[in-house]
Amino acid sequence: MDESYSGYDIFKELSSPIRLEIMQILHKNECSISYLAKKFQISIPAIQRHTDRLLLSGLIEKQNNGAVTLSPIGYATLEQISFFEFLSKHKKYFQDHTFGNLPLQFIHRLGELIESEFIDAEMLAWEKQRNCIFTTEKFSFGMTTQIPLEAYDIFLNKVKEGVILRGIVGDNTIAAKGNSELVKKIGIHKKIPIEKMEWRKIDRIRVFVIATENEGFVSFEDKKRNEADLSSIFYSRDPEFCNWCLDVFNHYWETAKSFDPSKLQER
Amino acid sequence: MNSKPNILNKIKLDTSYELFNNLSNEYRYKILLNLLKENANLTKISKETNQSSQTILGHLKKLEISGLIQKLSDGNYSRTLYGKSILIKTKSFEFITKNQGFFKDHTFGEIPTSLLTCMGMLSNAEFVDGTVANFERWKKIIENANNFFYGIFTQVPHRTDVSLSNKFESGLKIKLIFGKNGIMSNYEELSQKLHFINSTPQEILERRMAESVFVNLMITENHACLMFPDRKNRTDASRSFISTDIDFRHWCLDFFSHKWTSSEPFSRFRRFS
Repeated sequence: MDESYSGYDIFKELSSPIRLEIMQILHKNECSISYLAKKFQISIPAIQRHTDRLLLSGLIEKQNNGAVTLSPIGYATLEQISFFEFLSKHKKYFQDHTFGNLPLQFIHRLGELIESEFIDAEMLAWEKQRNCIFTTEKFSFGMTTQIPLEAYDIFLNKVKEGVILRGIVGDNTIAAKGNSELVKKIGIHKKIPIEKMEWRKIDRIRVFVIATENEGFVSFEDKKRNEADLSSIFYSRDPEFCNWCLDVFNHYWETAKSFDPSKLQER
Repeated sequence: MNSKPNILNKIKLDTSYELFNNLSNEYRYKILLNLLKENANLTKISKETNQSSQTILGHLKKLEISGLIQKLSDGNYSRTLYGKSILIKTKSFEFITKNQGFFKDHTFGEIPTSLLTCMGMLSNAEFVDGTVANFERWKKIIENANNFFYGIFTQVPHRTDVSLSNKFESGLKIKLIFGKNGIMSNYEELSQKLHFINSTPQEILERRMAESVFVNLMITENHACLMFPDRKNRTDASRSFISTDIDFRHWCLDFFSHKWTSSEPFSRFRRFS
């Protein structure tokens, strides 16, 4: 097989549940062969067939004391697995969603979203978002296509509590009728310092994210409508998940231009 | 390698096992890879793989059931987003298997998990083996830089100081990160070498000090050069991965800004014996 097919060899190594599990065990600790045999309740020669194969492929290594341990490439390989797990679990969802213009590194990092809840009910998703902003104590950053009027009340209260708010909107972000009037009345640009609440704009929102210090939300682009799908979202309190959301937000934040929320389209 | 709590300990791997099993067949893997380039019908796929259409049909069914490919109304097969993503990730494996020998006696150093999972972005690089070969390449990388030069170093990059100082007048923006673990045996000689650095205004040159540095890096607007530590955690500057590839450079920039934000303002080098 030529070089470009070398990724396939790893699939062969990983296509055995017992070999995968051995690697998972070694991720925590080095182990002796006899310990592994006991753990899987099979004979030493039988476990050795698996460990020999992993040794040969370089995914694990033998220590001087005879114990086996995960090699750096074994470690790196195992780190990729949650990606497959996340995508396989949600392959139906990704039949009618795309990654939009999400940069490659965030696609590679999709495994960080594995510990999450898939909320397929729009009202419930809105409720969760509302609660999330209510309970945040440090920051709440969001990139979205819909801004409800009721949100401003919560925003103002949060700013008073010292929470930092940041919002990214796009050409496709819609606010309710009366948004412009309300924003002017509150005087967002005049009364609230920019370091406490800041709005920026990008061309088009194709991925929706919210990140706070405790919670994260993400949804991807609806294939047909070409914009972030707010009717079904992924939600989690897992730190890795939240970190992914925060990194995505910051990525778009860097290139977004400052924006006055009274100029949002109303419908 | 990384002290962050790991999601791997929490998850069950039953879904991926099925996927790995499906793709551990040479033909199915090859079919999916070919469909990444363009859609194809049964006849074309059979020809490409040199197999009977009966055999291929079986493989196509398996790929279709698992959602990796779909059959279009015109009779062609196309890869799904799921199938495409799986192959994107497979690049990480390619980087690993291609450099298996190298990583037998090297580690990934302090690279954070989030970047380790993006390793597929490094797959398009040239492996440069040998100290002298590397010196020459570094010189060229600096000569070709006009906008910026970012570096992470364990040792003072003696071989690059002349080329770097030549660039000062042309307005090259330089950012350097050194580690407190740096091996600096002769402080006097070092400060002389670094003289060019001490007399340079900050808007041209910024320096920071990281707690420790194992992975070394050079990035310009054209190139990136990445060096890993050996098993004793000493940076191996005699072997490097060099590339002009946009994904490779992007990965390196991400690693650089990760290091930059986690390091402190520059302090004088301490003397090490």
